[in-house]
Amino acid sequence: MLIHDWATSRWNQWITRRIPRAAEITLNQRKLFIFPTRSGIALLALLLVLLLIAINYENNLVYALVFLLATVLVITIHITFANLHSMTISGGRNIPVFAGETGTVALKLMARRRTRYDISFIHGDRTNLQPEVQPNKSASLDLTVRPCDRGLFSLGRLRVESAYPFGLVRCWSWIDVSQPLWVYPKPLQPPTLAGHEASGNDQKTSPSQMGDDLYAFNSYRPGDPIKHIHWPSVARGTEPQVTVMANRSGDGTLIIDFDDYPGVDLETRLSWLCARVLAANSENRSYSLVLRSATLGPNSGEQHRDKALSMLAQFDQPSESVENDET
Amino acid sequence: MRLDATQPPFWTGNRVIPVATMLVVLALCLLSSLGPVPTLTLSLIACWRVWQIIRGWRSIPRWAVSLSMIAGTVGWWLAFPSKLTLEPAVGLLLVATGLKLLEAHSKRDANVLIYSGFTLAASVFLLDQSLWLTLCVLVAVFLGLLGLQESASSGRNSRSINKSVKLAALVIIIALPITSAWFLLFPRIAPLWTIPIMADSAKMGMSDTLRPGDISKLGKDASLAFRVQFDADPPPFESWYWRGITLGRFNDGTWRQHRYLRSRQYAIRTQSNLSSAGVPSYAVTQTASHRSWLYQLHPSTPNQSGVLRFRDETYQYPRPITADLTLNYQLQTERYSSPTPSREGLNLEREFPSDLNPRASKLISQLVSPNNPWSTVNSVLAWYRSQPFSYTLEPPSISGSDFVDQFLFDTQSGFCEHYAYSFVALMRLAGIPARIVGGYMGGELNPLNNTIVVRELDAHAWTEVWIEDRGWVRVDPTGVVAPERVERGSMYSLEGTSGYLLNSPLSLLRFRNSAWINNLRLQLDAMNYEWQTSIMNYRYEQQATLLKALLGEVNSYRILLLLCLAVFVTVIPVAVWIIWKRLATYRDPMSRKLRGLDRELRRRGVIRRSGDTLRQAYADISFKDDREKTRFERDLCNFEQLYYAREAP
Repeated sequence: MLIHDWATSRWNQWITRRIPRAAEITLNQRKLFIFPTRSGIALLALLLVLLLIAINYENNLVYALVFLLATVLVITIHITFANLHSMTISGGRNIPVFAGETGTVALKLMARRRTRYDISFIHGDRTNLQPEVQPNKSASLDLTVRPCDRGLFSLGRLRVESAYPFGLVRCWSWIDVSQPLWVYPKPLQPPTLAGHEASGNDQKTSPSQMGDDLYAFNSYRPGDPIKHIHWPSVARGTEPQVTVMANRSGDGTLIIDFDDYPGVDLETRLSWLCARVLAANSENRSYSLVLRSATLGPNSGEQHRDKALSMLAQFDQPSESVENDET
Repeated sequence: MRLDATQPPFWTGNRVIPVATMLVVLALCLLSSLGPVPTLTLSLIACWRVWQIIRGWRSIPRWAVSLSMIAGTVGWWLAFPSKLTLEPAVGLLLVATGLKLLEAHSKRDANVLIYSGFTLAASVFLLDQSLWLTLCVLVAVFLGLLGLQESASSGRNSRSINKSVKLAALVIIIALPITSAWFLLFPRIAPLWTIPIMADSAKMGMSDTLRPGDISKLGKDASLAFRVQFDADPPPFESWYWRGITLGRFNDGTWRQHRYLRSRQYAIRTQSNLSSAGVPSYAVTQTASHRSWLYQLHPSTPNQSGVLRFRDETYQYPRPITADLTLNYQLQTERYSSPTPSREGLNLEREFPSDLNPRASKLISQLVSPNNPWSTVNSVLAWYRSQPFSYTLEPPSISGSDFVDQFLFDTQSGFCEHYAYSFVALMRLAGIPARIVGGYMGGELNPLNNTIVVRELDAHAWTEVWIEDRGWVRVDPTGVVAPERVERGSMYSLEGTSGYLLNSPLSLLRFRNSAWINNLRLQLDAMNYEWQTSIMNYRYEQQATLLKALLGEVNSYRILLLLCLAVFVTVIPVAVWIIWKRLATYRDPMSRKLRGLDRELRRRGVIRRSGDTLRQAYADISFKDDREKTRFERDLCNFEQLYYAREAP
């Protein structure tokens, strides 16, 4: 296992040095690898047997057949290589998605001079086939992905391969094209106090008295401000609850603040904020988002929502340059 | 292979046609060697598969495949009585390929079929090496490459079959010069181990035993046995007795070779003696018989070292002849004295049981003239002439140990082997040493290249009789009975008999009487001879001679140089072509102009990304002053006007 890890890390180092991550990758002899496919190896074995037959039967025509097929195999190496060589693959902007949802990563393929055929893009256990790339016309290939984590999604190393035209040799490359796909946090409904919905009276009166929207209740954790403790719950003898207030400024604007949920871990907090942004947007309310020092809004509308979601996605993310690969 | 659901299955539409055609072509190539049944079966399966796939019919059920597997195996078992020869092996491969074709459904199956095709192509060459088959196999390889493309392609691009055809042809055309270089330079080494597989003797005209029960059918096919080319004018037709083996040991009703003739320790290895100029010489190109017998006129000596020479002056190649082989012989014209055999050796040639054939013994006691063997020979031949013997390829079968009696007095019809058998028996009963000689008689002279074509149907048996001061004398009793066989050849004597050219229904020999077809036939044959002698006979010696002529001195360094040269000869035209095409875009005025503008942009620190237009890149430029900006804009406008003026219809 140790050896495996070590080998993997050495391999990653080597491949990163050889084919570094880039927004646009042109495949050249440095980046391309080539080796016979299983069917090519079978042909080689067959040729060896036929060569033995030619030697043992002293049959010149069998010799000629062996040499012809072997030469075809060698020529195929060039054709297959040329099918991928000087092809440019670049990533573009992608439509952001929520974590856990299906999104697409678009790759732009450009071929110079020749038409390229049957290029497979293998990512994990998925294979996407690009049947054809016309010269000097860019083709676009959409890879379906399902990112789980909020933030900048990285496709990781992608295997580009082709065994055109005879399927005897396969030429491939592991490329790492940066194709920014921002992943919004997965919207999660913030928890509400049990029984709170039932006593509709409380909901209507007390928050308005406080001038704030009561948004949610949380279990008490040491360090929560005393004035936020929901005393009735303590009196009921249940677990002490802490009220979480949705601050509302005087003009009715909702303030969605990162600090509304102290003590909750970062990703959950962002998921809750995300749900609140979406809720506010669907209610067409004006809201502002406060993420520690950064503040957005107040505003409303689709564009504002997208900005807010991007802010959530980009919050506390390492910049792209130091991002590690997840091959 | 990675499983890929995005690709459609292979066995749909027209994609199967190249593979099926390839197999049919190869099956046709094997027609003359394996007979019509395997070829027809495979062709029918191929046609049915193509039809079924194009029509989108359901493929045949599993049990039917199993049933055909059993049928195929049984058919193969019955079709090839002897299993240890080359033909049944190739037949088995053909049967297996047909069965695979029946049930193939994946891309992998297509590849397996194509590889079986390549193996079949090699087997075609093992059985026959004529020019036509070579061309057919080249077509088959081309179809195989087409099939590989079809099998490797996803089938979802706009690539038409034209492109595949072009690519396959181009690859073969590029490969041919390199193949030739390999062919010429690849070191020819001696076989690594002896080949146990022999050719099917039933097919060959010649066999190494002679037994009455066996010889009811003689090889009637017109396939080539060997070709002979004389330096000067060939000798007259009557002397075209191509001697192969002698059968002198009679045992249990069967003539066989003497044991000492089968053992190599009694053989002498010949030396090449190029010195004797002026001696008429000839070259015999034997086809692959998978035996080692050599055929030559008597008396002549091979001009090649290492050939085995036996005491009965027959010759053998040290290995089975597995591919066309040319040997040079020198004809001994002056008074030639054959080596005198020992007394024991001669006594062996007199052995024949005297009690088996009482009538023959009685006859010979009347005909024998003591102390004058030659007059005995003549009186026996005169007796043959006086009797109503007839020459036929389908004689009544004779069973029982008194074969000679029955043949001489009862049936009185047969072919060369019957006459040779009975004649040697009579000679031995008279106490004269005699033996049967197996070989070929006659042949057809092709005046275009002065070669004699000897076919399997020319197979013949005659006799040799020991006369004290003349040595072994050739006597052909068949010539007495059927003079036309000896004077005009087997084709004339056999014409009209049933079974003639049985194995070659389309043979041009059938149309010998039409002048232009005959001329065409001789032309084709001359080409084929050229092919066989030049390509098939490229062996170690020829390679050494060629390399010496090319390099002066043969060493590894020079051979490497030659290889590099061969590679360059192929690569340079391709490289020139590629560069020429690339230069075309450079010469194009539009792209030249574009490159100029790009250079201008780069000077200003703006790099136009691929896909961006000039105008997009132009937006990023910061100009020093308006004058410069106007100038650049004018250039841009000029370019665009030029460009769109050209593109407009």
